[in-house]
Amino acid sequence: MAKTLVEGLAAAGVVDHKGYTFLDDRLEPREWSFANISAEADRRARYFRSLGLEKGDRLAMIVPDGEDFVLSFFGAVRAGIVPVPMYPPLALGKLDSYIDTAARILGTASAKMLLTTKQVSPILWSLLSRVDSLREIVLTEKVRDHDDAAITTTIDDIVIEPSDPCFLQFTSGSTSDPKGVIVTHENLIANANAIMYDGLDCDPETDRGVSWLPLYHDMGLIGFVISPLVAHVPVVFIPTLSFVKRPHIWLDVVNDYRGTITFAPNFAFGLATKRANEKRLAQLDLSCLRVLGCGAEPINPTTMRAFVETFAAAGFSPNALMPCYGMAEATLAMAFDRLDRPMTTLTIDRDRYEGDKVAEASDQGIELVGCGATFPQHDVAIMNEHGEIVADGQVGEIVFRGPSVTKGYFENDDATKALLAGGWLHTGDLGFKKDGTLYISGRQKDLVILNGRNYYPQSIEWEVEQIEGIRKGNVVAFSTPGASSEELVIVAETKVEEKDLLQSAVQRRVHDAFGIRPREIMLVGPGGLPKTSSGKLQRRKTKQLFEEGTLGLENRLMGSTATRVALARHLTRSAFARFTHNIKKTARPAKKLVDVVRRAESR
Amino acid sequence: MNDQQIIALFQEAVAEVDGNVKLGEMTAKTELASLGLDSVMTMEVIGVMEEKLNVRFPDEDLATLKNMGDLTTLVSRLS
Repeated sequence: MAKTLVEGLAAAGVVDHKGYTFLDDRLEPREWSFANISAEADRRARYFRSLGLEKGDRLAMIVPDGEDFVLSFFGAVRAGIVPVPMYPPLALGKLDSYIDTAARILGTASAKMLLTTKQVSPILWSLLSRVDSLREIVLTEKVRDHDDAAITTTIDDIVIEPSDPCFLQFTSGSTSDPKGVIVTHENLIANANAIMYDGLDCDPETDRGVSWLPLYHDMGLIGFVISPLVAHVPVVFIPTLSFVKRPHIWLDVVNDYRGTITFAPNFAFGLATKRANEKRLAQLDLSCLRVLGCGAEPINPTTMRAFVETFAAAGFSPNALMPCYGMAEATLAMAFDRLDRPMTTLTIDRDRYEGDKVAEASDQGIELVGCGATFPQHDVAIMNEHGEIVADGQVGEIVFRGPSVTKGYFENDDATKALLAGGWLHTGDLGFKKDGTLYISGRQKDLVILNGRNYYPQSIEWEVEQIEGIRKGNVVAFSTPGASSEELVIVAETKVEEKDLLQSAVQRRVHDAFGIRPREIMLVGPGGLPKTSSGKLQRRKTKQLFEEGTLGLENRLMGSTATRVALARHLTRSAFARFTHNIKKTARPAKKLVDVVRRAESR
Repeated sequence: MNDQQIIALFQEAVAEVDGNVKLGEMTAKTELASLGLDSVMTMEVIGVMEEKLNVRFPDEDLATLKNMGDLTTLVSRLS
């Protein structure tokens, strides 16, 4: 069995009867056998090396196209270069904050080069002057179309150890202080084996994955690009944007290609259910689907049930639904539910949970989805605030250990020490174990503590979502320091104009359910809440903006004129940066001119 | 297809994606950002329009759409 991803690529080199299928926006397939992927990775590895990239150098990647992303990623890995996948700019209205975040990630990773496409590059040139380590922007088109005969560099001398970093994973939530999780080859191989064999019990001859997940995100990249390559399981990739435009194509592709394994976050289940209709359901046969995993964001039992009921008409088996739990610091997967049962949920008493930190089964209260158990060679446990492992049914922080756990954050010792204190990975998530099943009940840092009592923000948010006029999945509850103790703030998106009535409805509902009175209920328009690149709500960012008094302002100001101005500014800066960069490259004595231009630019 | 028909098609697509959205009077100058659609919904509406018209809007053109006039121009160009 492979000990590194490079050995995995070499082993895949003989598998020529199956591989990856990349669909374009019209769902036209482009096929790559594992053997061809392996050969192309070698070819791109030689090219990267010819650019002056050495083993261990960081190569940032902003590459929206799946085929180019996958082949370049493997190419870099093959050469021992450490890729840093980053999300592409999607909404122009947020270009300013996009460029700021990108600059911080590139700086934190000390990226030497940035790989992107011709189409995206015009707005990224300004990064060259903002990030000291960054020497060059490389275009995927050049990597793809380069002339092999012109490359004399070899990759035969590159030795990769299992403990070498394979790539850096930046978590999408951390925009102000980004942290790059170091994923080593041994982490990846351990987690890939846990996912493919222990969790999914895959059969490489009969299984086929289907994924629309973004490849800059751990679930898409590790779950569907790296792990299946190691296990030789074929995968069909749908462009992420095509899925968002036409959510039904996700299950259409599962149907057409007889997919057996697919994963998605909670919101996608809601989207797919919403767009299902009798005509579409009649055309689908989902009996092929063996595993439909759900993870990467809190799992809402109501959304899951609606999905199962709707798609039962298309032959979807309830047993296929598999809630799971993971995070980038554990490479990806930490716990999967069992394959042979439907989703299990547990309703626990709210008072006992919030008051005594005990999960006690009850007729009504908080309903949570079971995420199964962890994998062989890995441990998951619950720890109290004194650092002690607690018994079944006790609520505390979820901690994890085993070969999938990262070495730490790239060049950030303080954060690494806190993350890995006492030999456990501290997830920051709250949960408990019951009858061998792990339940996740919230983020420790997000806990709302009012008058000494703990409330779980998700339970408040889900309660508020039930109100007519509130946009589902677009509610944030958090606490903020008040006169005597913390006070509750609820921010929700709505399309309703009559905000007064809706506000009192939220007030009533929260009071009835929890006996607490929010200090402030803020209703904003659609898109008014900050979200990560993968669409997750950002509670802490919301709280921060609220406390600064700027929540919702960015969107209000970002009308069309403001957008145009921002775009024009970025294009100008980019043009400047490109100009000065070319001067730097071609004529050293022109440094003075560069300084003049830089000074002008900084004004 | 004239501009009025394209606007009507857009309104149909919005209703299909989310029946609760109330769209008022719309002209070429109506800003897309003012309609109360978030980014995922906007892409869904675009997806429905693509299916109805049997065309594909290139990603780079979508990024530059500001108002209904830009949209009708794009649709006329593609169909």
